[in-house]
Amino acid sequence: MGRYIIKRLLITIPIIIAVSIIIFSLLYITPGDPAQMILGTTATTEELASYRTYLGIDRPFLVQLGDYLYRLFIKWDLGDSWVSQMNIMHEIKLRLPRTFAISLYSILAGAVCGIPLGVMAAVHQDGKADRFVLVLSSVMHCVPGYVIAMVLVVIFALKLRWLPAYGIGGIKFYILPCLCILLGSFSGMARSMRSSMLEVIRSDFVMAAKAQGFSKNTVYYRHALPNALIPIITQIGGQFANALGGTMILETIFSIPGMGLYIQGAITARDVPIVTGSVVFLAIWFCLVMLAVDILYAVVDPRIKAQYEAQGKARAHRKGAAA
Amino acid sequence: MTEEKTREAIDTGLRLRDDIALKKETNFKQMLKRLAKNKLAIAGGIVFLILCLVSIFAPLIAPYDYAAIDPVNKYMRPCAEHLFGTDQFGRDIFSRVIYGGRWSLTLGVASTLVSTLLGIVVGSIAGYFGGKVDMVIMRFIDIVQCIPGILLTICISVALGSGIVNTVIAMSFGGIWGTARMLRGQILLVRESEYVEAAKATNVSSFRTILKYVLPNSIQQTIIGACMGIGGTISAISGLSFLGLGVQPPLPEWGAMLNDGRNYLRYYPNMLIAPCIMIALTILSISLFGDGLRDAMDPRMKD
Repeated sequence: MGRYIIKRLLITIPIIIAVSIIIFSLLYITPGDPAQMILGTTATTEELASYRTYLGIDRPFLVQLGDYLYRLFIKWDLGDSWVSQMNIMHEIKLRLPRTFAISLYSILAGAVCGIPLGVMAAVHQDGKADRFVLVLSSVMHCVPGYVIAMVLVVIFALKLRWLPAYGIGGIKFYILPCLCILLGSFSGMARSMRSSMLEVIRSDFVMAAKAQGFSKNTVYYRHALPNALIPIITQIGGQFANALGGTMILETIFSIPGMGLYIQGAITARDVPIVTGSVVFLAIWFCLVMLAVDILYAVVDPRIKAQYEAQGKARAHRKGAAA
Repeated sequence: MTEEKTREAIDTGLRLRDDIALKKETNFKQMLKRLAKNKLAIAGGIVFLILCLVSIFAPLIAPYDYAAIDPVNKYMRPCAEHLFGTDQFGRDIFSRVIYGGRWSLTLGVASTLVSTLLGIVVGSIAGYFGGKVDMVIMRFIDIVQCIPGILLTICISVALGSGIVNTVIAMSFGGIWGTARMLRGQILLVRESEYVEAAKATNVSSFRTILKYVLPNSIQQTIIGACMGIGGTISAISGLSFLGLGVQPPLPEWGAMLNDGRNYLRYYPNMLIAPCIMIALTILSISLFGDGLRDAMDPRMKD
């Protein structure tokens, strides 16, 4: 198991480097002159040229890329923003907790609401509860998140005046954004919980438990549920992994100065260091969360743990045979 | 004597072939029958078809041009001349919504189609050939999937600029890899089966083997996924327009209309309700149809 984790961590390094190369190249081919955008249309040709030299964007592509990778991976320096001259690491440290809080609360709340609903629907398949969950999840699924957000703002912020419509501050400011993600995500959670639970209920070992005379509740909640929860771990993990970059639209609506708004602003302003720095940051986050999910999998499911270990052994065996 | 035997053998062979042909047809027919029994799925399919027809015949249905500005009649409430009222430039919202389907539906379907087709190509190459090719493709997929999808889409659409084709490219690029990964998994399951072995042994070309023997037995999940994905793609495209990327004004894409009306939500909600209903209706109809298709294709649902 330890070997497996180390191997996965080592694989992460080339992946991150490749991600930064891809994003850097993508921004390099993006039309638009950063110097022109920063200095405005009134700048003279000499000013523009000297500013380009200052930013280092008059050099050839490979030199720029090499310089960037050197600074990022050897000196651990994300650099400064081209537009605001602010240190990017500092900005990320400031903004990340906000985005993180929103995603954490809403994903947890989504799991807390969605999992019981899905289990209920599966246990009473084709019953009233099942219909209710399916209709509710279909309806919530088909309304885009930003529409829900705008409706919530009108009701709770503008009409009732209970909650602030935008900005950042105390816990009150987080309620509406979290509610938006929650309304969008719990239906998906309920759906996959339902189908996963149905699959397990139909499997042989549940049948065997029923045949042994265990009560229905014991079979469903002690035998079936833990097994049905395993695929849900992947889903929650995936949501976490994507959360930090996926709240862009929400942050735009609620004017929350988090990661999403930061990156989006930087993309439109051609602020290359911010975009590359943040994306590298998010990619590292993604890899680590996915690794955590896989480890968690092995912890809860001995079959998968055996699989990982067998993989390591098979490889060692093959190497031994080759030598 | 031998002639008789030969004839008998040929007869048996022919009968077997006919039986197989019959069986094949009934399998497909069975699926269609199961689908036809599912009223929700049929309703979803019909609604989606109507939405498509409405967008195709938009010039015949819409009473006004989608970009016709009328400064006298701006901010109108819904009335007889303007079914859903008018927006801040006096444009008829009903006409805009009708025309909007042309962009929203085309973009949604085209992006899903492109990403699914490319996903099938990449996935079948990785799954069928295996080995080094598979490893290189899968590592590349690992890398791309590390970048949050919406971020990649925004980066590409800024890099390429706005426009219909560029939006399709930006939207579909993110979808290729998930499809490819899923299809590869399915292909790995059938790659070792006897009929694929037989095809290889009789010197059928790789391309033909994949097309005729491997894909028909592994593509089911991908088709269902693509069908369900259209809704998500339409939602994502409208989200992109909402951020001011993707389709540019004055084109009446539904997401762009929502973005337009965002600041008037409090006093003129009618500017948002119509596009919102259209988006919701589209996604709902497609997901109902997709659900039905999945259930109908699932062999466990037979009987």
